[in-house]
Amino acid sequence: LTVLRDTFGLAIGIAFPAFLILLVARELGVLPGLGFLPYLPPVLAVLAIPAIRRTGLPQVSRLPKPALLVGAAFVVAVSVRLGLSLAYETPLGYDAGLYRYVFNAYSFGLPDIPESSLAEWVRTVYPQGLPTFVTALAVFTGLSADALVRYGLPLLSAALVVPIYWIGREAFSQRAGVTAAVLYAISYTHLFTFGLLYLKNAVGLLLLLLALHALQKRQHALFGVFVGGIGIYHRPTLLIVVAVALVFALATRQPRVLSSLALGAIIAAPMLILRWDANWGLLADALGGNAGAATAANDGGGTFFDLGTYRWASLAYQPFALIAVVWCLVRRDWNLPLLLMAVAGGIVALQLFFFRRQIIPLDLAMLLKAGKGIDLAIAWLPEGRRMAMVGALGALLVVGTGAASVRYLDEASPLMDRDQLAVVEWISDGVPADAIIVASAYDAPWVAGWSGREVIAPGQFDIVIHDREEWLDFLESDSADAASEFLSQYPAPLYIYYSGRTASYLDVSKFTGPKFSLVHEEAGARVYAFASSSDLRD
Amino acid sequence: VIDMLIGITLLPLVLITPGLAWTFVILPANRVPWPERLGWSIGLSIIVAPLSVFWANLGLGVPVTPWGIALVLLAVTSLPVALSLAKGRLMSSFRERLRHDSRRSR
Repeated sequence: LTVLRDTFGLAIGIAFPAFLILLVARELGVLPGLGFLPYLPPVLAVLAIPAIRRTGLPQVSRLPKPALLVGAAFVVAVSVRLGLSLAYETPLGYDAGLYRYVFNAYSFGLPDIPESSLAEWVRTVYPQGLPTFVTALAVFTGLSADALVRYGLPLLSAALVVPIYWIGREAFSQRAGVTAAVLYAISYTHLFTFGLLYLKNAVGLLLLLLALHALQKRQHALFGVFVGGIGIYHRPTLLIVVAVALVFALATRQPRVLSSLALGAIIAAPMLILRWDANWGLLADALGGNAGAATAANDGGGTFFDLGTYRWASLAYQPFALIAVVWCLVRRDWNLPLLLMAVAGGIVALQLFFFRRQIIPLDLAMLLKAGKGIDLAIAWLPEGRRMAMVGALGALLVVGTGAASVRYLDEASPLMDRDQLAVVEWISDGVPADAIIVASAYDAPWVAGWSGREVIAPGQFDIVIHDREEWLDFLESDSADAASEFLSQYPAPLYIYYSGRTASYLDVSKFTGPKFSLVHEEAGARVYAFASSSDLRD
Repeated sequence: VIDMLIGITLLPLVLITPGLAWTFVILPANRVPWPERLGWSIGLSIIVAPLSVFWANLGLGVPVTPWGIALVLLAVTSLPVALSLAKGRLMSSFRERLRHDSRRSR
């Protein structure tokens, strides 16, 4: 029976490199198709159960210079991100304009924090932590908020390799920590997150990882402070860390974790209570399974990819992560990466609380588990040529994980170019100060950030008159009368911005006739003025 | 360029110093490796800086100006230092008292 189990373990050990060879062949275009590959990781994990039951703590050699490897991972991560960020004149991502609007709103309110005069959508979507921090940094150092975001986000996003290494090292082994850090540096999911400029998420993830590491080290006061900090930066991450902590407290019978959560509540609650009206509405929507109701009409470009895409993006390390999950379950090892995976995975699977963005913490947990899984896979490799096979496995893993990232680097570009943005900037001088600008959901964040005017867009901002269907009818319609009727319900003076991008979904052929005039055009981007019936009478 | 260099030089005063001071209150003094202390300092600074600037402005009316922020950061960095010193003094007086009591009982 032992021989059989050993042989089976060996077969499983060889199955992982074979899986990676198929994946790499597909990624390199040698073997197109192979649509069955995403179904293999769970199968491999189930087949590995007998080998897992037999494997004790795998004896893998310690890495000689882990700090050097983590440092190299950081350098790779920061170079890729800085390169991407600085390659274009306009910022990457959909949220850039929204952040610029919020930071400008704070900056215009100085020397006071404009808590009471903020637009309702800002109060709902942007907790006080990030805008206050960026404003304070900008005021104190004299650096612009734009520069802080442009150079700071790549550093922040890359810096996650360090707490990932710490957590992997504490939960599993030094090698697992290093592996997770290296995989993070080349992960498509996290590069995509960076490319969308998810600034709040990035800070939330850093604090989440530091909080989990504090919990691993039983630094309960520190953990409590980090929980409070997460609460003032990113509420979805707060829900995750609280859920993980509660399960951890139950599983490990550590009631002090509850005191830490109470400390976190004391730190975050005053700021959350200041915006109780906005936060309560959001929480009620989320609890009622109606998360995102406020933005239902927004079909913009800021949406994170779905679970189907993620299954392919994480395919190279999925089997390793899954065998590590099985390993932990078999041994009833309730470590924090496992609990994070359970909570974030549960949210994604049940489609709760902005579930698509919860793929990001889910992937962090997957990377950490993959580090452990690779430890196990190495233990199952044939002993004769283990070093050579570890090298080959590592190379396959890096190519399998990094191929999608390399493709993304090739394809990624800002959603708006310099000329199109110049037309938005023209609005700040070219139209009256009290004008309101109508834009599609795709263009709206840019108009909000760079025009200095109030914006009306589907499912965004404060002026909400029409629902999703009515907006779609307006955007696609070519009827000047229908457009005029739609627009006349908004306060004047009214202007329309169109970037010219096909993703903008705005048929401009309707802007003809006496009520519409083209007031500015450059590189395909246009600004129309709309004159309501009363304007024409005047 | 000089403005940028000055700005970059000032960054650690917001990004590291407040958190570093607090780590000496929250964490044991000598048992935390420096890389981890530095990581936690950055994390704590990211929390402490906006919290203190926000509440100092809303609660105490301290303006969000370079000098106002400097004052807030100084206060929020000095507080844990004072707490640490007080804790150290309390501990040493407590030890002194113990030594005194044991001598008397002998």
